[in-house]
Amino acid sequence: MERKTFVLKDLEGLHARNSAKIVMAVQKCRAVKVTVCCGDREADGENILELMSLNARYGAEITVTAQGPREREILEEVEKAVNGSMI
Amino acid sequence: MFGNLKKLFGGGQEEKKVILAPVSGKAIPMSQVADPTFSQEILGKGVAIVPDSGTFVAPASGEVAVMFETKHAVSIKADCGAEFIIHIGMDTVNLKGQYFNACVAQGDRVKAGDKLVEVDLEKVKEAGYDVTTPIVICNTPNFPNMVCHSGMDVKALDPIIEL
Repeated sequence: MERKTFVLKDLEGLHARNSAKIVMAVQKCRAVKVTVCCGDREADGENILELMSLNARYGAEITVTAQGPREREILEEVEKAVNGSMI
Repeated sequence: MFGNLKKLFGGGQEEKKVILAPVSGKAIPMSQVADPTFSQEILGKGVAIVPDSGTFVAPASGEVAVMFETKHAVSIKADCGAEFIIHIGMDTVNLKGQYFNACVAQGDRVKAGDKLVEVDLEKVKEAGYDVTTPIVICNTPNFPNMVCHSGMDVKALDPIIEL
């Protein structure tokens, strides 16, 4: 199992589009189970509704856990999905 | 009390599993939405509405799963099992809630037709935003026989998606 913690740099927090990007990153490798945590809340990396329900705001610390093949790679992809592009 | 419960759980409309239009306007296929997040159906299938009114109501009965602080998007876990998001306008997250008024909060129970958000549509348009509003079923894989209706004018609460 791999775990990575990073700070949310999107000024609007986790919203529809960047949550969708997380889901896309996670779906690239279905064998990996990805969980996203913020504070005491936890979301399935494939469930956009749960991701958005985290209410993660700008500056929040997010911990992503991946379990399965290519887990490290998937963690990188998820971080990129969240903080990679501000467009 | 049992009468109320019956109404809650035994309502005929819920059994049909339809998602209704949250607003009046023109229903268009998702493929015509400018934002690829929606047009490529990454979040799921659905219908978009180009609204002609700023009053958005619940398209099905259920629980408000997410009401964004910016009030530009709301998602509902419907009693029929559908989990959907109503995203009012494109890139409207950047308005930070300006021109949007939320009528419900996260965790609230809503009935189909309950008012969710009031939007000053003209102001949003003047600010340069596309007001097209996708209604996306996020758990699309659970509904393999989903039928999305578009290409017509709709009133709020006209059926747009059959699950």
